[in-house]
Amino acid sequence: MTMARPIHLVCCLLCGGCPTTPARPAASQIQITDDHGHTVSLAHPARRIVSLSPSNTEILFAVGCSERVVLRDRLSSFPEAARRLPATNPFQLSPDHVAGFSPDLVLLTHADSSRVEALRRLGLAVAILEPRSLDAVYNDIHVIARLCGSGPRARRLVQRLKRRVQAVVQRVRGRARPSVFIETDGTDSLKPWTCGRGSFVDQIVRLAGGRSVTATLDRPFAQVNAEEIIAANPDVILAMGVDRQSGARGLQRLRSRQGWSSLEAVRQGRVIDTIDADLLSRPGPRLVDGLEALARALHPAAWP
Amino acid sequence: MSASVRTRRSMAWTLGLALLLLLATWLSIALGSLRGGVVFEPGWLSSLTADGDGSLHAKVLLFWRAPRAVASIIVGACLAVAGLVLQGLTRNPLADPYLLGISGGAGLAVVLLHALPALVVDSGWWLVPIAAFTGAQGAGLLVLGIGRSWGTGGGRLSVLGLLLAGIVVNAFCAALMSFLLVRFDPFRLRITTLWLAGGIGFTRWEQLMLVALLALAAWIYLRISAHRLNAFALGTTGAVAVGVDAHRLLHRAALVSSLLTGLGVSLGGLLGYVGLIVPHVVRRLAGSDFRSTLLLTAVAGGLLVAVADTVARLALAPEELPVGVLTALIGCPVLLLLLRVQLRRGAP
Amino acid sequence: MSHTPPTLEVADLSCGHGAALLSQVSFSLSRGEALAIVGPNGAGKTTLLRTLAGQLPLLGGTIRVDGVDLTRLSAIQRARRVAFLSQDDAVDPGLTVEELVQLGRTPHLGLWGRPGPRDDNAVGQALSACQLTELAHRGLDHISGGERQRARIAMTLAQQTALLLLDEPVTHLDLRRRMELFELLSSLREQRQLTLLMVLHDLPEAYREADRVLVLGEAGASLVPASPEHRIPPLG
Repeated sequence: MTMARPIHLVCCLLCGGCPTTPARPAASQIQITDDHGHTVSLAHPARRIVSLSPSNTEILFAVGCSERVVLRDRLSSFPEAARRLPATNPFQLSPDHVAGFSPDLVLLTHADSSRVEALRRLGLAVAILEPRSLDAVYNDIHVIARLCGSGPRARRLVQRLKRRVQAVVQRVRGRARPSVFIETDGTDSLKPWTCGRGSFVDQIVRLAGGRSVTATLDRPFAQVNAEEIIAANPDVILAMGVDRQSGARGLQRLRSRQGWSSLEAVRQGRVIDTIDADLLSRPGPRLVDGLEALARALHPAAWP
Repeated sequence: MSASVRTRRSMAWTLGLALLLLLATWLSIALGSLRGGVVFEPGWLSSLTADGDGSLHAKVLLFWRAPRAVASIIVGACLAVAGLVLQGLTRNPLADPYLLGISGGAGLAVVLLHALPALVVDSGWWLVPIAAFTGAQGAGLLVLGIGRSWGTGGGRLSVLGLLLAGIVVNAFCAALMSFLLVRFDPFRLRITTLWLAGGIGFTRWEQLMLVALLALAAWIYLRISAHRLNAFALGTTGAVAVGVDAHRLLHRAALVSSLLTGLGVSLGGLLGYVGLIVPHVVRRLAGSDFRSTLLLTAVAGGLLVAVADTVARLALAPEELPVGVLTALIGCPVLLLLLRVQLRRGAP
Repeated sequence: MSHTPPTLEVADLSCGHGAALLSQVSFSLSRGEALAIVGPNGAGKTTLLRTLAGQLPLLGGTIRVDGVDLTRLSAIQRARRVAFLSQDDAVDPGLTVEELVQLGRTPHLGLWGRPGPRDDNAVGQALSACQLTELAHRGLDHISGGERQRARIAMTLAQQTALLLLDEPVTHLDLRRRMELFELLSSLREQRQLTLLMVLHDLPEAYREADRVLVLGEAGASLVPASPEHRIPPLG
């Protein structure tokens, strides 16, 4: 072994790293653009996938690529089979740990840019998919399918989803829209978290025949002052969180909150707290399940 | 203890800790997390020279573990030396980049950066270090400016003024940070909060080279000024009497300290205790002569953070602990022990 | 003797904090001379001394040390010619006596600040001249007030200047220590031809220990020679 290699290595490092393997322009190269505008290329459909968000995991399972998933994030809990996969913390990604699974594709929804950079520096293909609407979800399903080579199944899935959405929209058409307050996290009862314009939850509420009182908020997720919500006096409250200490569900919690108990919605029990929060917080195929459940809760008369 | 004995003692400590540092670095690269457990790869050096940087494993060594190990050393050295200088200038054993609001400024600048639309932030890795460094310098200048107007002696800088100004700037930065954080979405908020607790994460080699060069330049400036910095032990008037331009030196040394703090924060987030504890330990070991302590402080600081980061990375593998927790856990007992020994001896 | 410039030459000096507290002060000192500055509080004794030391800006007039205009010198060049001991002792008590005296060499050290044989010699001589060699490794907080003042003076000796300015060097010492310190100063003047300016509070003391006395008062400054009969022979 000559001295050339180590010297070559040090030079590479000092120059900021040089690409040792040039890009292979294979005939069957797969290329997609992720939601951050980054081009991700694979020589062949991904065989070992790391999925670091619950929505992407659900999509992978839904398009039939579940056996290819080697690592998931801790929050990926659906379907049941996903729980058997090894899990990692998506907030403090350890590239070391991820690399240990020899993946050829890493899927993320949220991106901590420095960790993403780290993964890319290791030569891994990283795609960031952050859907903000139903259409974006359909698009991401197609993107993931392309990366895994299961295009036909994805197309069928998207068609089914679209039909179901259409069915809901038909049923609630023409009905009066109740005003809805979406509470995604009420741990701080003075400043609960809610959704604003540009979030897919807001879109779901609209499709379900409701009208979010925080639709004018310019950010997809934000905290609002409880007083404003009380003043807005929403017809319905959609309570998605569960009190971590007492385990109390929405209506119980709201009743015990100062000021909230006087709201019409609370006094008359018009609090939707039985929908699984995962159905409305994960931008994946189950979002349509959430849409159906919400629409039924808002307009029970439409489903006689 | 005579001065020459102290010098020899400090050289011995410097050498000893430097060797430990090399060992710690080697260990840090040899240890990784794999599929939930910790792996020890003693042959990493030879496997690197054999494979080059082709395989994924080699890339992990070269672009994740190695730069992180080097970054932790640089962060520790920068923060420790900044603390040493600030404690010498203010003659206050509690002076530390955090007390003087300098890292607060750095943190604020980075939070401000993250508050901008994602498109701006994700486009350049160099934005974070520049923001941190600018914030630190800005806070440092602000502290100097306020301290100058509050100091005694008609507009000149005094030690008390510096400390008071630091407390105010710190509080101000913390308040602004809280205000900005309110606007973050939950994911970004969590990431930023973790960063604020101290974390080293991924660093590119280019970034490391740049920071290392700047830190070295700062250290050299301080080393050249060391005998003049020693004169501050005479008080400001006394220092002027032995030919030191005390006010200008105070100003410049404070700025260089904030440069070092900014560099440390840009690589490692808001890491506490290093600038406070390491100078104390160094002073107990080798006295207060800057000529001997500057190098020892850099080495000791590097060692502390290198060890802390390795433990933080692996203790709960594959989860990571914030490094700040580790530096506190390691640093505080050492300080308490040394203080106890010192009290027994009867020295203040 | 008339060809060499006086060690200190002050002409039409005005000094003060912003507004002139003293003006038109003129005097000169030759090598080995001692001048005491006396006057009521607020008269400007410390202000004058500090201006001569370069700690306060000169409002008017000139100061020359060995013929060189002090205001044209850099801080380091000035510190090689003039040593100044302030009234307040702000020294870090964690230092040892030796470390304190070594700080007197600061204006002489080179780029990397490493002391050379000349520096070590100067320190050794200063310590022995002030009878501190045995206490060299003691901390400043473990010696008496008188010893500490001696240590501070040793530091100025290590600075190896022609002129030494002392602001109230004996104010906090008891009678015996005062006499000892004055003995030390007069022997230093003899051995090293040190030129001395001291601010003193006690008028008889000033007349006893100095060659001339500069009296500051409302009418300005007046220079008075101290006559020999005011001197008391040194203690046994």
